[in-house]
Amino acid sequence: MSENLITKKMWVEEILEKYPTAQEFLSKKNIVCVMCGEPVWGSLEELMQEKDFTDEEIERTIDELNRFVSENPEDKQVDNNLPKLDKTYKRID
Amino acid sequence: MPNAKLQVPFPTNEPIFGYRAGSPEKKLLKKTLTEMMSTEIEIPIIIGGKEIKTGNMGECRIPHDHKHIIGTYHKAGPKEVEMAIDAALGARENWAAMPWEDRIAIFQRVAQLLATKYRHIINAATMLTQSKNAFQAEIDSACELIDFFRFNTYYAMKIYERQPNSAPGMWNTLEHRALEGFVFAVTPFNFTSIAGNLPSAPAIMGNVSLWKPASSAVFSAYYLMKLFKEAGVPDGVINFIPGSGAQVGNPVLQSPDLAGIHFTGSTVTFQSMWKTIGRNIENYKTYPRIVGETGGKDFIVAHTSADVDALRVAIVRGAFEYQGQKCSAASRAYIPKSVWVQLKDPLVEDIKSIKMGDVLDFRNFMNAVIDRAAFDSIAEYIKYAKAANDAEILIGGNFDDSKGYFIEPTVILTTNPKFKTIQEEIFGPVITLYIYDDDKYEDTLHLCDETSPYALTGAVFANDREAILLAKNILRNAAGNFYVNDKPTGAVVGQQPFGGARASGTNDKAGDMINLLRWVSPRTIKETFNPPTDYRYPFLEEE
Repeated sequence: MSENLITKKMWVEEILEKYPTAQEFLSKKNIVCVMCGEPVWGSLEELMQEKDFTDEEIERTIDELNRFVSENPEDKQVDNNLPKLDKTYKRID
Repeated sequence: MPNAKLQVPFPTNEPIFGYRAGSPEKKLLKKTLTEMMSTEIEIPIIIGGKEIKTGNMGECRIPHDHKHIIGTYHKAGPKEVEMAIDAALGARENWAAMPWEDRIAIFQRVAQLLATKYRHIINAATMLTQSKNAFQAEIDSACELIDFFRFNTYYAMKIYERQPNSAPGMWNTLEHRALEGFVFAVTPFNFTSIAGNLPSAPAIMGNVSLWKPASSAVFSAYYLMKLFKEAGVPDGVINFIPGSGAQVGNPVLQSPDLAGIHFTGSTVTFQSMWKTIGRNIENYKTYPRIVGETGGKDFIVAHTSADVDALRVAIVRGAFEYQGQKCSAASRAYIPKSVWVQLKDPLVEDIKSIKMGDVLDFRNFMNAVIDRAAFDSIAEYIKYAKAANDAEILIGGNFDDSKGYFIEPTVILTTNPKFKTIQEEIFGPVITLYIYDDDKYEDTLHLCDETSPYALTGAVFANDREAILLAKNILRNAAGNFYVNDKPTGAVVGQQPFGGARASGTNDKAGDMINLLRWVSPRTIKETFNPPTDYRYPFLEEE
């Protein structure tokens, strides 16, 4: 496997900024990384240790996370054009 | 003015502007919104009054139109933290020594400028980058923040007035000193008022602060810094260091001059900071004061005697105003079966009628959630409920981030009193209802008390006084702000001092004297007018 994009020492905030889809994976693992609308402080490793993950579980989960974000890249399309404001929203789910 | 005993004017709550059609305040606000949206500003770090630019940039996006960026900001790191600490400590001596009346005059001026010249600016900034409608911005970034400044300055005077008794021949006095060091203020995205209050409340008491605003609310925070500057808050008293939590927070917590933390945010982050302080406790020059308001899993419990219409409105307003992103938002409710029969259809109809969208359309009751991470987090909870066997989505449950981070007001019904969404804080427009047997009211109160680790706000709806009394007793420690026949949100400074215990925080009641007392270190001074000149006490005399 190629070198991991996400490492256990990375800040949670940085991971969510660079790889937003990571949250979906972490949430399913019961690792809540956004509280009060904001990423929690600290590294992913610290957050997982809070959840009583062992060192082995942390390594395994990080590998799975990296596979997940590789297979589910962010489809962020950002530009600086002033959009026309839509007064409604559409349902997609 | 040394030869006068001054009185700070008794504060009254700032009146709420109506923003009715055609009103001058609405015209001005709309004009300001348009102007802000048509430009992109660059926000510096501000340390000791100087603008610092690191080139490590963050973006100020409009949550309901997330492709639209109206500002970028420079992020602070360890180097800027060190500079900010130096600037704060450099300003400390003069600020702490300034006569309290002058400090208070500055913050009275801050309040007045916010009530007038800055009102539409701070409101517009809050509406755009925190996605608040005009009313939610007005009650937050205008009224509540003005109230914080006016009430805190009044309470400061009341604290300084408090002096000990003195026996004949002596004069005992109490000096309420500023803390020895700096205060680290960490502020949330959801209330501009809290953002302004956390660095300034300690400053009113003579302290200096480092202020790290939430990354998603840097835009409005920057305009508050402009307000502080114009009102005359001296350079270095409040230092503005936006940036990532860990990049800024970790070096701050290592400083031996850390004298206090004034925090609003997540429980996990607060606990992490507390642990770090604990590990470093031998390194600090003084024991840091730790003041924090964190999460909530705020409840509504209805009794069979509840007024169903009042209950319905409380659920809708309490759960969905500002998209449920208030620490105090109702996110679980316990409804007796007989009430549910009457409540269900009107509640669904009310929620169906809610309009959601851009803040520029003043008809919208709801807007977007703050950012992508929050959107994803809330959506995951909704997906979980959809997939569960012991819960169903009564209404809502849809979400769309194609233009803005919109999530429908969502009601989850569960048959499991310990269902995930009835226990965990979601911080979004999602409320979970549990319907109980009419004769299980007392059991349900105990269930409510034991379901969540939080204890911020809660409400009981009942007309039966015995039912209210029972709820007040059983839920005594379940909420720091307890409401009877009212929604659990909307605390007003000077009327309902705000804060909770258990996992919700240290309950130091923002906007109250209780909070300000945390930012002073009293010195007792005894002066004896005619000191004894013989060490021998009378009892030493021979018979």
